[in-house]
Order: sequence, then structure tokens, then C-alpha cells
Amino acid sequence: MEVFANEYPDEAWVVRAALGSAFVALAIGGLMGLIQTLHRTGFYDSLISNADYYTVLTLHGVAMVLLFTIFFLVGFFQWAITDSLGRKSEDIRITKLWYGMMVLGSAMSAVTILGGFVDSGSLSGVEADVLYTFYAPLEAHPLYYMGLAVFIIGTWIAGFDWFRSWWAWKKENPDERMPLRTFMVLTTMLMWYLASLGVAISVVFFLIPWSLGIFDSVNSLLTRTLFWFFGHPVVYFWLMPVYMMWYVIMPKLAGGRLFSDPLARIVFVLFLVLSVPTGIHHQYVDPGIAEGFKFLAMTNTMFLLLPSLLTAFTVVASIEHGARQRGGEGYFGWLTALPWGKPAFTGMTLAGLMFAAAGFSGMINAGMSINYLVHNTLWVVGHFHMTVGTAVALSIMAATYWFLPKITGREIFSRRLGLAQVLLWFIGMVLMGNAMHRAGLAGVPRRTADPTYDQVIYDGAYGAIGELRFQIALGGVLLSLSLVLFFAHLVLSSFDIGERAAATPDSIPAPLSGPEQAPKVLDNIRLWTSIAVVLILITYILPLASIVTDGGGWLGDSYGVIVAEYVLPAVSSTIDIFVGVVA
Amino acid sequence: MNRPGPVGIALVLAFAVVAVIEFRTVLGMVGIDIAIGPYFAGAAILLVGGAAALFAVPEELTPESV
Amino acid sequence: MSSETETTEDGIVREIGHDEFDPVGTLALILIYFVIIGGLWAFMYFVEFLGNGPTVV
Repeated sequence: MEVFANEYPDEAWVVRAALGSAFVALAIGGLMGLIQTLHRTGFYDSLISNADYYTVLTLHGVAMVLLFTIFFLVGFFQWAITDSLGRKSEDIRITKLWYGMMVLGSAMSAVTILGGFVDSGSLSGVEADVLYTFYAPLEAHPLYYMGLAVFIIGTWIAGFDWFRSWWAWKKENPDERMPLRTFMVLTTMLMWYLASLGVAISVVFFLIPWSLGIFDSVNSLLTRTLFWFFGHPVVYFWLMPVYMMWYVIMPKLAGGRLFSDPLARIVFVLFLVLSVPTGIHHQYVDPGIAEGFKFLAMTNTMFLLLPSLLTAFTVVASIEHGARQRGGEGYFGWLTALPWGKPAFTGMTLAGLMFAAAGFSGMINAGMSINYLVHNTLWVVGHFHMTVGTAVALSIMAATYWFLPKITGREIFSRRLGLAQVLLWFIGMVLMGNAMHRAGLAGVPRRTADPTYDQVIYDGAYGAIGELRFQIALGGVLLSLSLVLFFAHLVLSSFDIGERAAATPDSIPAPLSGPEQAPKVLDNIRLWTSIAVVLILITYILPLASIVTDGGGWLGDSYGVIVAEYVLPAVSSTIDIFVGVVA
Repeated sequence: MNRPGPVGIALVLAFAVVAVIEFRTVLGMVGIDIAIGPYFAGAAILLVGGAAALFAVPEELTPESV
Repeated sequence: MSSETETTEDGIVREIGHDEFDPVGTLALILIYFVIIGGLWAFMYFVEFLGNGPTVV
């Protein structure tokens, strides 16, 4: 068996290109993050104006959570499919086509966002200061939405490309179980098809015609709800590839074997079934959606804790297996037998640990009543910097140390540097994430360039707000330093050409409990997709109907659809509809 | 148990930094105040110690150094 | 890095199969996590109900 880069050179090219795009986005997003953290804490706010802050914020959001994560995961998925099925892409031109479309879409959107920095000249009308959530009536240049659409269609074709590989493999191996990594990719992509439908409808049918001037207005609650239809499951689109890393790479690095293949499959099935019908939990304070629908979304969300808790068990048990094979003893002594010297392992473990902590703030966010306390505060920002910003981003960076030799054919530059980078990220994020949570509890708002008001004194449960600001800024600086180390590492590794060839590929060890233990029904993805669709219909049909019928139709009657007086009519008509349906 | 190697020390110090950050808040809430000066100085010393330990990590790792 | 060093680095001193493996360490860690989560859950009462006045829906 050869190194992946040599065995599948065309596929490895696409994987490298996708990772390259991801890291460009990471660099841009990281720079914006540094500017933001210094600006809004007041430590250095003369670089940009408060108005430009929102351009920076939009770029940070889009570059980090759409471009960096998704470009990395399509590259990683391409590797997973090619390597686990052991076959080349069915048609490499299609593979290059979807990558090209994603790049084109990103470029289109990026130009409009960058246009926000330019106030005169030919680009003066081109801007997209709409933040990552692009809530109407905030309006971007049409090119921004079109770019997003092209990008998403690119990911759809990628999914189709991987399904084609699987269908072809299945024809040749009719009696074999679907390989675990293929299973993970395909369930993730099915979830993604369902989820991205919401944002695609919002963008193609409402926001693009509206930004082109074909419609005068849109029903802003409708486009917002369609955004969150996609906006929550997209976090699982980032997370599921990371779970694949934790299930597949970590046991291997720890010197053990995956504890249970069937459990891993169950987790991915649960994500497919439960990810989408949860988005309304981002809208707990939106008037115009009845409490009952919010409660339903909360229930679904709490069920989603299950696959993550299953993952905590399976992954920890798998690395414990490795530690015991390496001679670890005792209830906690085995922890010292883990390969902490490997940056990939240490980084992913720290990311997992941070995710366990973020799981708790996630439960707070998901709880309908306590959400009111933290909604739209910096708490939420702290939460997602520990989830997507660490569980996902740090896992991706750490996995890169393991992954890069596979796709370039040469070893990474230095483990020591890698270790320094992952540890620094962890410390920086603890400082920043912790202080953001506390500042949020003290009432500091999110999405605000200058959160100081004459009438407001933030009152933290403990400590002065100035101290929290300092911790946020310091944490942000440490994170930026960690990013610098990461990029330095990538550059130094690429100068190492020919110095040290990558190790002959190590196969992924077989799970302790293999797929033969998994009930056949787990592989019936058609069944799970149908259940997911039914759940989505149950959760979304009624709220969407009430938003359209009571919110002034498909296009809204004015920008002021979301107003407080709106709650009561929506509740009563919802009850009417519900009674009508039941009767 | 074996003495921890440089990797172990770096990792333990990283966690110590985190513990200092978290515990100052927790202690403060139950009424025990740690002045900001010693707190940051302490965290900084731990951070520098961790960095120093990392420099002692051998590039080619053996099981003993972990 | 050759495949020999890879084997040494893995440092595997014994093979443990499915039936011999008893993940008590995992149990210990998860119990600690649940104790922390439970503690925070109790703490939430003070944050939500005693710290900030009534929550108005």
C-alpha cells in the first residue's frame, strides 16, 4: 500500500487544493478576529471605524464558519471516500468541477464583503455588511447571495460525486458492509442536503430577487427562519467530520482500536435524523413564532445531546484501549500512557475536552427559559468559539499534522512546534471563551462594535468588566499567535520537500466491535432519511405556515414584521391551525 | 508512576494556567479575592514554564519522553 | 520516519481484545463529568432565579 498522495495523485490534488483554500480562509478570518477582539474591547480601536467593524465581523464569520470549515471537510471527505472504498473518483473532472464551483462562489461573496471597506470608486455600491446570518432587512449586493448559492451547489455536487463512488463500489462488492468512513460521509451529506435546502430556498427565491429589485420586500421572519433551518444543522456539518476524526484517527494515534463500529454508526444516524428540526431554538426570542413550536425545537435539541454523549463514551473508551495496550494502569494512571507528544493527538483531545465544557453552555442556550438570560449576549459568542472555534477548528488544525503527510507525501516539520500551537490555542480559548461567557452574563451584547453605553454599567457576578475585556483581548492575541505558529508550520513543512518522506501508510486498525455486530438496518440510509424528513415536516410545516399566513404573506407587508404586537395573533392563529389539523 | 517527561510537564502547566483562570473566578464568588497582579504574574510564569518545557521536548519522540 | 520507528512510537506492549477490555477509566472520567454538569445545573438555579430578577417571556 502506498501513501495516499502517490496512490491517488489526482484526488490528492483536489484534497490539497481544498485544504489550501480552507487555510487561506482561516488566515483571513483569523486576522479579522484579531482586529475585532482588540477593537471591541477598546484596546486598539483606531485601525477601523465602528462602521467598518461590521464588514470585519461579516468577513470573520463567513471566512471561518463557511469557507474554512467546509473547504477543509470536503477535502477530508474526498480522502475518506477514496481511501475507504479504495477507488479513484468516478470522473475526476466532476471532482474538480465542484471544487472549482466552491472557489468561484467564495470569490463572488468575498468580493462583495471586501467591497464594504471601499467607500468610493467603482466598488462603492458593492457591499455585504450583513453578518454571517444575513438577516433581512439587512441587504447585501446580489453577488453575495449568488456566491453563496454557487458555493452550496458546489457542495451538493461533491455529495453526488461521493454517492457515485459508493454506488459503483456497491455494484462490485454487493455483499460487503458499507465502510465506516463512507457511511459517515454519506450520512453527513444527506443531512447537509436536507439542511441546506432551507438556506437555498431563502437565497434563491427571496433574497436574490429582492436584492435585484424584483421584490420590494421580503418576509424577514420567513427568510430568518429558513436561515436557521440551515443555520443549526450546519454546525453538525462542521462537527460530523470532526467526529469522524475522533472516531477514526484518535484511537489509531492512541495505539488502540475504535471501541465500537455500530455505536459510531448509530451516532451518525442520530445526527442525520435529528439535526435539522432544531433550528427554531435560535429564535426563542423571535415574536411571530408560537411558544409551542419553540418548545418542540427545544425537545429535539435536547435529544441531540445523546449522540454527543455517546461519542464522549466511545472515543474516550477507544483511547483508553490504546493507553492500556501501551501499558497504562489504574483508574486515571492510563491517562499518562497516552501519546501526548503527538500534536495531532493532544490537539484533538484538548478540542474534545473543550467540547465537553461547551456542551454545558450549549444546554443553557438550548433551554427555552434560561436562553432569555443569555440571548444575543457575548455568552453565545463564547459558546460557539468553544464549539466551532475549538472543538472543530482545533481538531482540524491538529488533524492536519496527521493528515498532511498522507496527502503531500512528506512529513510535517516539527512536532514540538505543533504541540506549542495546540496548547497555545487551548489556553487562549479558555481565556477568551471563559471571559466571553462571563461578560455575556453581565449583559454585554454581541454583534456590537462598541458595547459601551452611557446609561449602562455592566455588573458581573464577580470582577470588573474591564478585567473581562482584558482577558478577551489577551485570549484573542494568544489565539492569533497560535494561528501564526500553525501557518509557520505549514510553510516550513512545505520547504521540507524531499527531506523526509511520509511513513508508509498505516492502515486504520479494525474496531474492537466490528460492523458485523451492527444491525443491517443501520445501513438503510433511505429509511433514516425518510424519518428525518418526517420529523422536519412535523417541526416546520406549522410554524412556516403561520409565518406566511400571519406575517404578511411570502414577501411580508413591511420591514416591521418582527414587532412585539405580533405575538398574540400568531399564537391564536397557530392554535386555530393546530385545532383545525387535529379536528 | 514514572516521572513525567517534558511533554507531560508542558501539558500539566497548560492545565495549571487554565485552573488559575477558572479558580480565581470561583474563589472570588465565594468571597476569596486574589489580587489581579499576582494572578496574572502567576499565570504568566506558568505559561513561560510550559513554553520552556516544550523546548525540552525531543523532536524524535520515544515512548519514555511521553 | 520509517515504519520501524512508527511501531516503537506506538509503544504497544500488549494486545487487549474485545472481551478483556474493561473501560473503567472511561467510566471514572464520565462520572467526573456528570458530577461537574450536575453541580453546574444546581448552580444555574442561583444564576437564573436569584441573580437577575424575574425572566419575562
